[in-house]
Amino acid sequence: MQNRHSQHISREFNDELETIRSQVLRMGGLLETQLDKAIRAMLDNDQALAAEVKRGDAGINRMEMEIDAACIDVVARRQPAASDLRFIIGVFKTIADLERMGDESKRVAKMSAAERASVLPVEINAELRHMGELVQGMLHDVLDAFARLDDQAALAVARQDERVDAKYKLITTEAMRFMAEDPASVQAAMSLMWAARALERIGDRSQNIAEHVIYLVHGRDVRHLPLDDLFNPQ
Amino acid sequence: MKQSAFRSTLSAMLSWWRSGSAWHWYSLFALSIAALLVLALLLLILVSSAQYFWPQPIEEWVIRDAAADNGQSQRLFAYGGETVQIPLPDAAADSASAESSAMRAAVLIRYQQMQQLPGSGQAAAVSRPVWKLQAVAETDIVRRGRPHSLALLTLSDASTVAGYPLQWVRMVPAAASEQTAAAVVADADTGELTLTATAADDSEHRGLQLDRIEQQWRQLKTGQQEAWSLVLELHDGSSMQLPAADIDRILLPNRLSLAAAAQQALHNAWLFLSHGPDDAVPGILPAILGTVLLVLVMSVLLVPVAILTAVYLHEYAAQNWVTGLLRAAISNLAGVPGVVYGVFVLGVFVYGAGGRIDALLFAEQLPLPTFGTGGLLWAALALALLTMPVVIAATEEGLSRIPADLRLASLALGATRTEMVWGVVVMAARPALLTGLILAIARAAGEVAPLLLLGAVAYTQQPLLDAEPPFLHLQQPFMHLGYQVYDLAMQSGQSDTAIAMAYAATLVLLLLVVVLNLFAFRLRARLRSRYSTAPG
Amino acid sequence: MHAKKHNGEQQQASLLQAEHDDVVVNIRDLSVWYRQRQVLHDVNLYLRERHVTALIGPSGCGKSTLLRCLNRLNDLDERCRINGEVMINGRDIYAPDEDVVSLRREVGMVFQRPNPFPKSIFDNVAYGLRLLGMTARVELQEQVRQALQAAALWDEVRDRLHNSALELSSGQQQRLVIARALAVQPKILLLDEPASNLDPISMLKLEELIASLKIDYTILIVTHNMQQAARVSDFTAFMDGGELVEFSATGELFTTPKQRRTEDYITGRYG
Repeated sequence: MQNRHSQHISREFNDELETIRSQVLRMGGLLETQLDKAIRAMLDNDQALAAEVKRGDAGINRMEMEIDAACIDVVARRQPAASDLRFIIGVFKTIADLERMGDESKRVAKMSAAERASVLPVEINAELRHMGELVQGMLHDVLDAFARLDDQAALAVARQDERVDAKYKLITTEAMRFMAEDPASVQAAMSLMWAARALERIGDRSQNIAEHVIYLVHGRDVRHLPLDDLFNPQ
Repeated sequence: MKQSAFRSTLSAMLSWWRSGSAWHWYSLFALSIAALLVLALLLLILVSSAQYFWPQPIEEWVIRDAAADNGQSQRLFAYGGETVQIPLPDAAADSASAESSAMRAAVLIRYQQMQQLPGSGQAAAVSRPVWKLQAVAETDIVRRGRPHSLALLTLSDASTVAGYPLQWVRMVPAAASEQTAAAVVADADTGELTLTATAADDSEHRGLQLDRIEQQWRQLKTGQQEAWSLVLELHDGSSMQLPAADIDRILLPNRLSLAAAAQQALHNAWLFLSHGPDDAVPGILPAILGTVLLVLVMSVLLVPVAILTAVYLHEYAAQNWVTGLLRAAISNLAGVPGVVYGVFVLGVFVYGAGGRIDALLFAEQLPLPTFGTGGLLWAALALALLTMPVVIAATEEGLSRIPADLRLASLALGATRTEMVWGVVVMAARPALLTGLILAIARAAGEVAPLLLLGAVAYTQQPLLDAEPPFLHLQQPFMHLGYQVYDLAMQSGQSDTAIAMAYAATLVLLLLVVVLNLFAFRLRARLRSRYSTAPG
Repeated sequence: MHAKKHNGEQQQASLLQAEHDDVVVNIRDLSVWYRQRQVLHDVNLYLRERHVTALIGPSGCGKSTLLRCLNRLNDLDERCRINGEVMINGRDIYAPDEDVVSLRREVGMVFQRPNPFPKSIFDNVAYGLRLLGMTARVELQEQVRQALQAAALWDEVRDRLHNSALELSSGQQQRLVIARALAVQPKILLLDEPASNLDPISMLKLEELIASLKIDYTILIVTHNMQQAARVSDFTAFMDGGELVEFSATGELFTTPKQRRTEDYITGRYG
C-alpha cells in the first residue's frame, strides 16, 4: 500500500498525518544516530561518545511526547477510521518501541566503561560488531518500511530478527564459556552479555515495529504468529 | 472650484443611485400611495357615517304661513336640511305663467307637527307630535335659530318629541301638599328657569334646572315611580305632560358638549344596529342578520365541495395536462363577473330546480312560488359558486405544502390511501382551507350583483329565523347590507339622509367582514398553533 | 470490473459464512429502476433478528431506496420498478398475494425529519392502532403508554398527552414517531437517517433508545453519520452508486474495510 495520506478531502488532515509520519521518521533517524554512536562507543571504549549518547536520549524522549500529543489531537478531532485509525494506532505503538530502543541504546553505550578488550578475545568483539551491524540494518530497514508503508520490507525485517537472535545466542554461549574458563573475566563477560542483550532487544523492537507496519498496512494483527503464517496471500 | 463641487455632488448622486437604495424609496412611495388610498376610503366612510349618527341641532323656525296669506307667521321645531329647488307654491292653481320662474330655492326640513290620534275607548282623542318632511321656500323664512333650551326627548316607544322643558309636576294628595311645596321653592332658588311653585291646587310643581335636567330626570324617575311628569312647551305653544318614566332619553342638542355628542352618536349607532326598518328609529338589524346568514349558508354549501374538489385535484387526479387545464379553468372562474353567476343560478336553479321542487313539494301553494323564486338559498349558492375558485386554490396550495414525509409516515403505519388523505393530509391542511374561506367571505359579503337577481330586497317583514319550524327559512327573500347600500345609494338623489345611511350601512358591512374574518383568523391561529406543520 | 467481481465473491462468501438461522430479512439480487435509471444493482443483504444493521454511503447511493423496498413504500411511485427478492421471515413480500397494509404494520418506519401528525401526542401514537380498528379507550391508553415507554418518552409527556405533538422538541418528536411506529407492534424497524436533524444530546438519547430497542426489534438504520453507525450498529453495509460494496461486522468495517471504496469513504478520501 502506498502512502495515501495526501488523498483526504480535508487538506488539514492530510497535513497532520504527514507531519506525524515525518516526525516518526525523524525520531527514527535520531535513534539510528544514537544507536550508531552507542555501538561505536561500546566497541571503541569511547567514554566521551557514551556520554553524548546519554545526553542524546532526552531528545528521543521529547520527540515521543510530541508525537504522542499530535496523535491524541488527531484522534480527538478527526475521529480517524480504517487505515487512518490503524496508522495512528501503529504510530502510537511504534514511538513507544522507538523510545525503548533509545533506552537500550543508552545501555549499550554504558557498556563502554567495562574493560572488555583486555580480558576477552578480539573475535568476540567482532561478533558483537557484527550483531550491532545487523541490528542497525534492521532498524534502518524497518524505518524504511514504515516510511514507504511497505509490508514486504517489514516482513523481511521481521525475518532478520532470527539472525540477530542466533547471534545473541552465540555471544551468550561464548560469554558463558569465558566465565567458566576464567573467573576473572566474569565482569567483562557480564558486560558483554548485557550489551548483546540490549542489542537483541533493539532487534526485537524493530520486529515489533515491522509488525505494526504490517498491521497498519493490512489491518491484520500478526503478533504472536509464526512468521511463515504472516503471509499467505489472500 | 464650482465645477468640482458640482462634479462631486453628481458622483455622490450616481453612487447613491448605484447603491440601489433608490428602490427602497420607490417601493416605500408605492406603499404610501396604497396606504393613503385605503386611509382616504376609510376616512370617507367613517366621516360620512358619523354624520348620520352625530346628533343634529334642532332649530326653531319662524316662517310665514303659506296657507294663510295674511302675513301670519308660524313657529316650527325643525332639523334644517339641504337647499333644494322646488316649484313655485300653488303655481298650477295660481296662474298659468308657471313656466317663467318655475323653480325657486327652498330648504328641506324635518319638522314637528301635531297629529290627531283617535282616542281609544272612552279616552278622548289626543294629539301628539310627529315628524314631517317639507320644503320651505327661502323667501318664507322669517327667522331661524338654535335656542339652547330646546330639548329633544326620546320616549320609551322610540318616538321623539321636541320642546322647551318648563317644569316638573306631579299629582299629590291634598293633605301632603303644603310641606312639599315649601321644599320645592327652596330647591328652585338656584334654577335657571324658575317657575314659582304654587301649592294651591292638588298638583305639586318643582323647579327645573336645564343644566341638570338629566340628573333631575333620573332622580325623579327612580325616586317616585311614575309620579312625576315633565311639562313641555311644544312648537305651537301648547304644553304637554310627559311622565318621567315614559322618557327614555333627554337631550339638549343645541348645547351638547363634544363628549355628550359623541355619546349620543354612539347611542344612535347602537339604535341603528339594533332596530329594524319598521321601528321609529330606522335600523338595519335584519340586513345584518341577512348578510351573516347568507355568508354562513354560503360557507356550508361551499366548504365541502371545495375540499372535495381540491383533494381530488391534488391527491387523486393524475398530474397531467388535463388536470392542469382543469385547474386553470377553475382559477379563471374567479374572474367571471358576479352577475353572471346570478343569471346562471336564476336560470338553472331558481327556474329549473326551484320550479321542480315547488311542483313536487309545495304544489298546494302554486302558482305562488316557494323555491321557484329568489331566496336566501339560491343567493348563497350563487356566492358559493362565485368564491369556489379562491377556496379551491387556497386548499390545494395548503395540500401541496403538506410534507411528503407526513404522507409516507401515515402509509408506513398501514394506512390506506383514503385514510392517509382524509385522516392526515386534509387535517393538516385545515389552516389553508380557512385562509381560503376568509378570502371567500370577504369577497362574498361585499358582492351585490348576483343578489339583485336572487331575492335580495330592501325591505321585508318575513324574518329568516324564527321559532317556527324549520326555523331557518331558506326560500325567503332577505335583506342584505350590500343591497341596502345599493338601494340607499340609488335614493341618494332625493335625500342627504339616504346617502349618509348608505355610508353607515357600508361601515357596518365593513365591520361585519372584519368581525367574520377575525373569527376565522382566530380559528386558524388556534389550529395552527396546535396542529400545523406548515404555514397555511 | 475486476473489483466488482471480487466484491461479488466476497459478498457471497460473507453471506455463506453468515447463514444464521436468525436471519429475518433476506434481500437477494434486488435491483430497482427509477424510470430508465437503475438505482439499485443486485443488492444482497440480510438482517439478523434483534440486531442493528446500519446502511452507510454517500447521498443518492440508494440507501433510502433499499430501505423503502422493505415496506414497499416504493410501490407508491409508479415510475419505480423492482426486480429481485425480499424475504421477510421466509415470505416473499413482493409476491402477488402479499397484503401491503399488513406488511407495513410488520415493518415500522421512522423518517429523517421528525414528522408527527398535526394531532395530539396521544392521537399520534394511537393513529396506527385506530387504523387497526382499536376503539376501546382503556385498551388504547394502555397501548399508547407502552409504546411511549418503549420509546423512552413516557416520563416526559405523561402529563400532556393531549397537547399538540408539535409542541415537543425535535428530539422528543423523533422519539414520538418511534413510539408511533412501535405502537402497532412491528417486528422490524426501519430508521431513515433518524438523527440527522437532532442536536448531539438528543442524538445520543436516540442512539441509547436504539440500543434498548434492539432487545425486541430487528433494526435497519440508514445514516450519514459514520460515527453513529459505528456506535449503534452490529453490522454495517456500505453502499455506493446503487451497489452494496461491503457488508460486515461494524467493528471490522470501521477498522479494516476490505474494499478500497469503503476505505476511501469512511476515511474521507476522494475515491
